[in-house]
Amino acid sequence: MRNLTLTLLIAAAVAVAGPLWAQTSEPQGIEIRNLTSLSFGSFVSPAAGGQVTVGPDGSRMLSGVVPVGSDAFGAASFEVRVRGTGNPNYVITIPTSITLTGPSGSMTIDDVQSLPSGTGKANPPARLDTLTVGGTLNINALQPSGAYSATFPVTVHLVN
Amino acid sequence: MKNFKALVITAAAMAFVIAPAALAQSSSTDSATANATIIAAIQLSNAASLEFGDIVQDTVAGTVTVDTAGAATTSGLTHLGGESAAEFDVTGDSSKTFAVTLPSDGSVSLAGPGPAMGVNSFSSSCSSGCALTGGSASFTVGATLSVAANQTAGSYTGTFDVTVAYE
Repeated sequence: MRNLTLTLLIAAAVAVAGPLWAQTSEPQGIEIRNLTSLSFGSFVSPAAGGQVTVGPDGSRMLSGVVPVGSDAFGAASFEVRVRGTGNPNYVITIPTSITLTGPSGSMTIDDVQSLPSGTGKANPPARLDTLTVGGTLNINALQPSGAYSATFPVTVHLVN
Repeated sequence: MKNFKALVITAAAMAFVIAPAALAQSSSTDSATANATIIAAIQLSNAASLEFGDIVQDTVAGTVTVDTAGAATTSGLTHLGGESAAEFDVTGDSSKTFAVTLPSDGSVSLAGPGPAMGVNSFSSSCSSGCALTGGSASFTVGATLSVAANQTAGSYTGTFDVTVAYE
């Protein structure tokens, strides 16, 4: 009899929990996913150094360097998805600098910028936002030739 | 005891409700690649000068053309040899090709004891799509020299600029 009571109570609890689960719907959460790389392009090694800025809007500015060859460039892009029905705002954390390494040298990216900057909002109903990241590549004088790359993290935090 | 059971069951029910929320991420991180390519600078050096050779003074004007193979042809003048094309050496990235920019007409002349002689119609053995096999290449440059009637005898010299650039 006692066992039967317990079983009934558990069944009742599950029955209650079921509708509760349905009512809370999707739990609040956030996910970021990288879509494209931050690409600066191809440049002739400059005699006196130079800079290449790829803005988070995908635009490019050159200073002291000459592009050459298959010279594709673009900002890094990410997809940000906020789940649940709560606050769709999020805080963006990007590196302050990124070091690219190549076969015989390195280069630094600074002035890293995101769009949106600082905070973003994954507006309902889709709760999906696009986040892009750019920066300024510093090419040293007589930078050794080769392919340079790095990976860098971008973190998004839900605003409660 | 019954209360305790109820408490346990309530706790179980609560856990059921709360657990999915605890699984949700309040932050998320993903990484992107950043990349750039550096190409060795292209460098040009002059290996041999453009020589029009020995030309005999004449009462009529004429021209001497040295082609990229270094051969001379004349119009209305006697030429005694000594001609050769200019030669340039290039180093750069073997995966790239380059183009050659030659002086424009009217921009180069040879100075000497008499009136300056114009050098025009520059030609190059490679003008565009020039390969850097193994990271180096060479090309030759010719041009046409205009000699005036009764050009003062003597040695005439000048310089001209040639530019190479990756394509």
